[in-house]
Amino acid sequence: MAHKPLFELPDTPLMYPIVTLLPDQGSVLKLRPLMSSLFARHERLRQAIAEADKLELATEVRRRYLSEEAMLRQVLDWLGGDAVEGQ
Amino acid sequence: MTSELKAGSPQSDFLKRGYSHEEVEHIYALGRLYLESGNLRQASIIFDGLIDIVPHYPPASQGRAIVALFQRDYEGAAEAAQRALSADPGSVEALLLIVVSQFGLNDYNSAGTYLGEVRDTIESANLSDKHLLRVYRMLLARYRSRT
Repeated sequence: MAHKPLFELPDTPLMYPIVTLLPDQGSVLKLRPLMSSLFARHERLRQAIAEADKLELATEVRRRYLSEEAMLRQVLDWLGGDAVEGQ
Repeated sequence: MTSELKAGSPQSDFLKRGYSHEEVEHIYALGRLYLESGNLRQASIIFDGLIDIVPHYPPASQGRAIVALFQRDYEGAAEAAQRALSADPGSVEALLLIVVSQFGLNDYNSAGTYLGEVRDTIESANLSDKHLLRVYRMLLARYRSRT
């Protein structure tokens, strides 16, 4: 069995401790009561994206819509999946 | 080092997009959960979305920086960490993320400069957060073993 030298540097610093730098804010348990409002917001965004496509809005505006829509879809997926299935 | 949202501050610009403080923080918590469980793609989607709707919310940029570090996208990590620092000047967390990014970019001079800034902040503010100090010491050891 080959042994690595004790003082050989790793390629990158160990990453797990880095995650502890993230602040502990909010709670995923409190997302469920927000589900209906997030779902409504997601629906409005989908309409806005369709409008943006029709009006050929600036790419940056459309990109932001898509980014927000993807985030909300991810949240709704996590909350149960049913809310966004079949769209 | 305060990364909480404050109404009336520049960080409250997210209100223009109709999100409450609580909504933003709970969505961020999901991004953090995805990251901690190793689901980088999902974490990235959450953090990117938050950055677009709340550009001055440091935790989202910090989360994005960590996703980029895991993906070895050190340029992207440095950019996200700088954004977090701009939103919260003096943030030790953001400074430490910049240091890790600079290590990845093999820019040890910059890493050393930022580490010095972290040391000064820790000493002047008498910080005692054990997670933060642990990461600082880890990166300092890494820096010293390189020079």
